[in-house]
Amino acid sequence: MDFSLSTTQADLKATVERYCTDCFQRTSARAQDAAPPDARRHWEAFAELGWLGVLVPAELGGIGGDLLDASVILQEFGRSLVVQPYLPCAVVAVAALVRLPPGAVRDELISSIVHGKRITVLAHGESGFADDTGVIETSAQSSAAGGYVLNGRKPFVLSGNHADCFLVTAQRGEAAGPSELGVFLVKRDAPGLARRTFDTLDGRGAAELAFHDVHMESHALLGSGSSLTAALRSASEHGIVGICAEALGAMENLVHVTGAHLKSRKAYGVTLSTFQALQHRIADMLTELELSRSMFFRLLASLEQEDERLRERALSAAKALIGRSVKQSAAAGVQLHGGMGMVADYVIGKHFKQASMLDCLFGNADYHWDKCARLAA
Amino acid sequence: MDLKHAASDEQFRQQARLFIGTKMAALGSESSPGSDRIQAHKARVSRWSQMLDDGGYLVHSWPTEWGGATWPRTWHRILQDEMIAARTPQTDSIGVGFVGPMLCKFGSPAQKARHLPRIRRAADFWCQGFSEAHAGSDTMAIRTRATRGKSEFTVNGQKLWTSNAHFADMMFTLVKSEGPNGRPLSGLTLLLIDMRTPGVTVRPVILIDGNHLVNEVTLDNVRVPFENLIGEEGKGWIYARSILADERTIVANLAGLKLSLKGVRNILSEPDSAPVHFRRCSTFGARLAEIEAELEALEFMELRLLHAPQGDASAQLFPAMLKLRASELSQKLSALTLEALGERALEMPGTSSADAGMPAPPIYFTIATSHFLSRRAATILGGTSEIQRNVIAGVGFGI
Repeated sequence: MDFSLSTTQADLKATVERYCTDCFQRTSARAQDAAPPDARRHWEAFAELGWLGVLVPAELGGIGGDLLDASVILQEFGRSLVVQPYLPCAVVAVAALVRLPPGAVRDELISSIVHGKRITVLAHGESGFADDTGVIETSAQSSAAGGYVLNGRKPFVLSGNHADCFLVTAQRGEAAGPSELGVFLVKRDAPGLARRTFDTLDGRGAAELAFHDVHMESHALLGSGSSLTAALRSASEHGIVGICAEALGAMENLVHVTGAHLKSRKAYGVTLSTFQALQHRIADMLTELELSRSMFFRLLASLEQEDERLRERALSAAKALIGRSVKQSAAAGVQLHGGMGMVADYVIGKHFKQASMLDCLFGNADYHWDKCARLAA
Repeated sequence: MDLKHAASDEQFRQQARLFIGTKMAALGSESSPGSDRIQAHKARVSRWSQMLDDGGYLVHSWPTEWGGATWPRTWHRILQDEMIAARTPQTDSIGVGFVGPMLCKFGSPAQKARHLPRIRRAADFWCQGFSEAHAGSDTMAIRTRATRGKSEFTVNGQKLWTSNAHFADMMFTLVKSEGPNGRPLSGLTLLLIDMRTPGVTVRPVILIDGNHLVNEVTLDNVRVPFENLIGEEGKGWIYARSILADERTIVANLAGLKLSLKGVRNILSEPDSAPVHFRRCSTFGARLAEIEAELEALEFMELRLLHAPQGDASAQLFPAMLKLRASELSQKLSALTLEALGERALEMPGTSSADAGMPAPPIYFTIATSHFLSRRAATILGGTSEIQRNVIAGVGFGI
């Protein structure tokens, strides 16, 4: 077995790390980034560097990379508390799109994502909780004039505040007849689409969407039935793997910063690292980090699995363990910093808030432990 | 052994509840603050404090010659609990709970005559200037220094984490000083500083919940008259510690935790709040049950403390244990609530911007978020969990 990155991946990691160090100051007490996230300069830079096309096959304009390449990027973003919509757009939405049937609308959309022209995110779950058994009530009724009329609500769309358009899942069918799930491309300024945007704990932001008789052309339907099921499953898997990668990067930084703090901060005439109780705490944090990293490798290995049940269990086990680890580490990081850990502008408090996001998104630890237990039964 | 509550305790509880209910109705709800939220807040706290003082319910823990009551220890706790349960406005707990008792015990007659009546009327709001950037748990590392002049001290330094300094009228602070012989003292000195004195600058320090509660206070050649020295120079930390010994019980705040738990159960029974499958989730119910049970155990530990005979070792041990475990429990509860509420509790309070026609979401989501973030400080303020464990090992085992 070989756990090292390939030369290409190592280069990619170095490039991303350099970009983040130059542009997203990690340990600075000042605001992370001078330009607000919706000023597109970073997004355009990502496009130029090819990062937005990491998961897009070459024939569709991307660089034909895989989930490990995306994870390398996400790990650096997690480390540097990057709030750009990379995960929901370039990873999750793209993972869904490349598995939908080819067509003019879809292909053009993928191309515009790769070139940094349009930020697109998936608007799917309706329970406000990563629940893959949840009911989708948003409906897309066939319209007499052709096309569809969309009605419904999506309570939490990650980075929905920055998105130019949405991939909205809805029950497609006649008024009183059978329906099947379809996914539709809806632009942000579509008449009848109302948004409520808000900041999230980690600064990424999100939106609540409400659809009141939003009229869509028939070509807005990008997929349905079994290809959509496969696309959504892939999107969910990519989301889970991606958020685990971010969590690893986050833990690396917060453990490093906390260790450095213990070695420099003095109390009672000595550095905090002198106290055995604190040495044990930081040792536990480092152990959790390496345990999480080990689990992440296992997750990558499990994705080769054919057996669906084993894949699902591997995804849930990793998400639960890594979610738990990042939350515990971040809380310990705050505690070991004392008052400084509570300051809004300081990096440790930011990692603490980020950790709650990383655990909650795509299903928190409790949810996934429960799922593991059910899969084992 | 008699494990029943005293009938007199129950009578007192009813009496207190009635008084609080009547006065809360008289106080009325918070009026629209208009342009000055701080002034409105201070005015409300003053009114409420005066109502309590008129009824003998404000300075009950002070020595009797200064307005205190001769209550059994349980009654002080019962009154506190009833006020928390009724969500009464806060009083100035630093003035009433710390400065007042300290002046009663160590203040000069002139200081008592000047400040105690003002504290009782909430005419001055107080802040506590102890911690500094380099002196958190390690109080003796304080660097702010007072040099002696002819008729006054000159104080230079910087305090950090000073709650309410942005609207306080007075600060009581620990500083290093030289003593009347001009030689630096090994102990610390307690001074009262008027926040309007030239050279006092207050800068907000925003915390992870986005709120402005604490500050950095810079003291630049601040003149402090000798009459604002409490007791003897070099003994300030000894005075403060003797009052702090009681502070821990207040900081444990089991009544607040009980109220939160009730609130959480209410939220989780709202149909829209937590998806049904999560409520059925096997680990969730067990976690909540564990928190409830531990709170019940802590309530009985507090009863043991309140009924402990004089000189009993539990009086030293239980406050640290209560603070340690209650603070950790409040974090467990707020984390569990956040997790139960899912994605919609990831929203930062006060950041929402909606198109016309979008209804506002239920408020319990951002309340849960806010609470989770602010409670992260519970194991840091009022004596860190690490310090509490040191105290417990020390008192429990002489380690």
